[in-house]
Order: sequence, then structure tokens, then C-alpha cells
Amino acid sequence: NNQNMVSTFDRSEPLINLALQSEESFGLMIEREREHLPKDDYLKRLRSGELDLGVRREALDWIWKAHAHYNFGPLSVYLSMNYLDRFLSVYELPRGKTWTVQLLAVACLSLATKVEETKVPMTVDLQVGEPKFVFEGKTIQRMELLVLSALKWRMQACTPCSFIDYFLRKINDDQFPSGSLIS
Amino acid sequence: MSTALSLCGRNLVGFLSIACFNLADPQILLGFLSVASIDFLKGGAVLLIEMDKYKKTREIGYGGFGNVYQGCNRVTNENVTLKELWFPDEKEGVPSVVIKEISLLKEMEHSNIVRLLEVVSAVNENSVYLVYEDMECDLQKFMNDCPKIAKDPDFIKRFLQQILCGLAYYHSHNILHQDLKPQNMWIDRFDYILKLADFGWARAFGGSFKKIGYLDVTHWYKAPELLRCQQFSTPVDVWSVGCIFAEMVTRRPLFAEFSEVHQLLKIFSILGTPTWPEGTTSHLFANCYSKDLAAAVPGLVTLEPAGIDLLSKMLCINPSGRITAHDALKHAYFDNIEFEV
Repeated sequence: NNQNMVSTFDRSEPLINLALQSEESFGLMIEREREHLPKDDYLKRLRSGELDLGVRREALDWIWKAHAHYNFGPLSVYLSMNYLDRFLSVYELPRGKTWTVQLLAVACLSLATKVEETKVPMTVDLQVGEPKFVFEGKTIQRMELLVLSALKWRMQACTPCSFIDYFLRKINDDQFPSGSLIS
Repeated sequence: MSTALSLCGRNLVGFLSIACFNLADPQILLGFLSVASIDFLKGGAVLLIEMDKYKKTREIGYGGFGNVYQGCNRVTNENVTLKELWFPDEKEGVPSVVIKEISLLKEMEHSNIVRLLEVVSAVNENSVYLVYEDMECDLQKFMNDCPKIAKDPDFIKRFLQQILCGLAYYHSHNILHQDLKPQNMWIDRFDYILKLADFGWARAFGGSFKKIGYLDVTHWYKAPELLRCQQFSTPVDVWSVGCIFAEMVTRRPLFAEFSEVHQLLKIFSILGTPTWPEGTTSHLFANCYSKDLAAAVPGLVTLEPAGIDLLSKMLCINPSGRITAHDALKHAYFDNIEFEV
């Protein structure tokens, strides 16, 4: 039954004419991408040491670990990183309190997997790789809410992956390339 | 903003230096941390907008994830619609559907799509509230309350155009509505602007996807491919709009059966039963023929020929042959409309 379903829908062909393909919506995507970036001075503040680069590294280290453990897709890491950077650029974590960093990392990964993955473990079960601090579900939920509000619930970040279809078309004479070319 | 943040940061540091004191005992650590971190989050209240800001005045509906209320802003007295979204399980955290729904709405900005003003948290109730601009009337109510206006062919045309405009915007963002029905279309009685609302099941899609078990939209407006549990995409919304178009003209639901099976049989009885190529078990409605819609549904005689033509293109049983929202807007039926929207 499933076999049939696949054969009737050729995956290499989009089912409908997505607006992605038009130049106008390409412009919109670039605009949207900009709206999902950390604040302008973020990089400067990281470089100058005003923001602790170690915090970011620590959070990402753990995110990579948990990501590998659960075999999540590449977009989940990208989104977690995007949420983490955007959060750090608007919210000041107390310095030297490593548990807040760990809590933030868990919340970012958990939000990213919920947006991107089809199968998502319970938030408490996300805490793999023997982190120094383990949090209760309720605590993680509150951190999730804090991140969501800080990012104004704008979680559908425009990622580099969003542009792939457009450029694939461009290099293929404005035709959607066949499946074999993509793989 | 920056002062508020730095103030809050200072409070946090003060609080946490006391907190740190206790961290030596690993036994207390786990329980303590959850208390400590909750207080740490309270420090972030500058970012979390609390529900206190709004007052619930009246319950107006019930959704799959919570109730819908009419409310008002305590400060500005502005009327709003509040849609509650429960978090059923702490272990799950903020549910994935909630995150997806709200973040999709956040990307939407169109005059025919209801505007999400903000999201407020009710931390103690384990839920958030979506605050929408207030619209007191939906299309269902409008058709009942103002039959004269709702029957006017020009109004039907204007409403249909607005529905399609909102839908085309939706589809251009790779989003399916999946629950279009007259109750989900809000009308501003002052300027007759129609807005699509209630995106309870709206979700982003990439290409095509299969029906998810718990999805259940009112089946009166369900496309045949949904009733047959096949893969589906944007054409399902166009089908629903077709049903609503016919309902505006005839003043009664086009296909209103009590079960999904009867619904499908009813559709076939009016539009004609599709035939499948011999010896195949194809899931597609390969060879469809269409009956004459105007003849099959007597109430449609008042509709102009261009309207009948558009309607039958929207109600094409084969989803891949169905007109898109974008193309429907270019249909001759709309040629003599003043462009006001």
C-alpha cells in the first residue's frame, strides 16, 4: 500500500507550484532570513568579551552531543544554534552560573527538534551525555517559554537549506532537477 | 528595553549568589535547581508577557487545545479574542504543535488573515493564550443574520475573492489551512473585510505529506482525497472554498452528510463517480468526468455562468486537476469586480 503511494507521487517533482520559485518570494525569503538573525551588535560583543564566548561553546558542545545521540537531522542543530545566538543577543544570562547555560542549551535543542523533527523525545530524556546538571520537565518548559518569548515566537527561521531548491532550479535552466541529480 | 534587561540581570546575580551556597550537597541539588531556576525565570518576566494584562469576558468557543474567549485589554480596553492552548504534559514541555502553530502565525501578515497580536503566558495554568484582533462575526453568523447582504451576488464575489486572496497568501508560504469552513472566516461588519481565522491545524508542509491520524476537520468541507486518506496538499483548501462558495449562493451546505463515507458517496452522486483504469489499484482519481453542476444542484441557477465554471474547477475531484487559489483569482468570474481589497 505504501509502495503504491510512493510510486504515484514522484518525489523529485513538487506536487504544487510553490511560490519559492518566483523571484519575488526569493526576495521575501532574504528579508525573512534577516529577521531571524541575532541582534547586529552580537558578534562585536562576543569579540570584545562583553559576552562570554565560553558560554556559547559550552552550550553548543552539549547540543552536538545530544544531537549525535538521537541522530537528529542537520537542520535541528542549525536551528538550535540560531535560537541560542538570538537568545544570547537579547538576554543576559547571569555570569559564572553554568547550570543556566545547560538549561538554555536543553531548551534550544528541545525547541529546535519540536519544530524540525517528526519524532521528538520527552524533554527530560533529551538530557543525555552526562551533563553536570539535570532539570525537571517543568523547569525546562519554563525555559522554553522564556526562549520563545525572547525570540517573539519566531521559530520558523529561514535557513540556508531554504534556499537550496531555488538555486538548484537556477543552475538547471529554471527546471526542477531530476531526483538523480539531487542525490 | 536594555535598562529593563540589565536591571533584571543584576537581580539575577544577586539571587543566584545566594543560591550557589546550597549547591554543594548533591542530594539537594536536583530539587533545589528546579526551584532556583524557576525563580531565575521569574527574573525574566520582562520578556514573558503575563495573562494579567487581559481580562476574559465571555467564553465563545471550544477548540481542541483549549477554550476561546472574548476578552479585553485591561489597560487600553481594546476588545480581543483569546485562544487558549493547553500544555497537556509537563514532560513534553511546550507541545510541538503549539510551537509550530504560533510561529507560523507570526510569519503571516495579510489583510485577509486574522492578525495575531501577541502571545501571553499563563505559567501557572500550564498554557499560553493567543491574542487576536477582535472580530465579532463569522461568515456562518453573517449569512444567518444578514441574509439580504449575504445573498447579494456582488457580496458573494467580494467575499470569495477575499477568501482566495488569504488562501493564496497562505499557500505561497507553504502552509495548508486544512480547516476552512464558514465558522473560521471572520467578517468586519463595518467594511465587510473577511479574514481567515483559527489555524488550529495549519502546518507547514514540504511538497506532499500523508494524513496524520488525529487530524479531523469538519468533513462537510473535506476534499475527496482527504476522505479517502490519500496524500494531499494545497488543493484540499481550494475544495473547501468551493463548498463554501456554493453554500453562499444556495444558502445551505453543499455536501452535508453525517459520516465521512456518506460524505464521499454524496460527492460522487452530485459530481459523478470517478472511474479507475482497469486492473490498477491506483489511489488517484484518474479518470473523472464531471456532471453539469448547475443541473445537479438546483440552487445554483442564480449563479452567473462564469461562477459555475469557476465552481466546477474548484470542485474537480482529481486534486491535480483542481484550480489553484492563485489561478482562481485570475478567473473571468472576477473580471467585473472593483478591486478594493
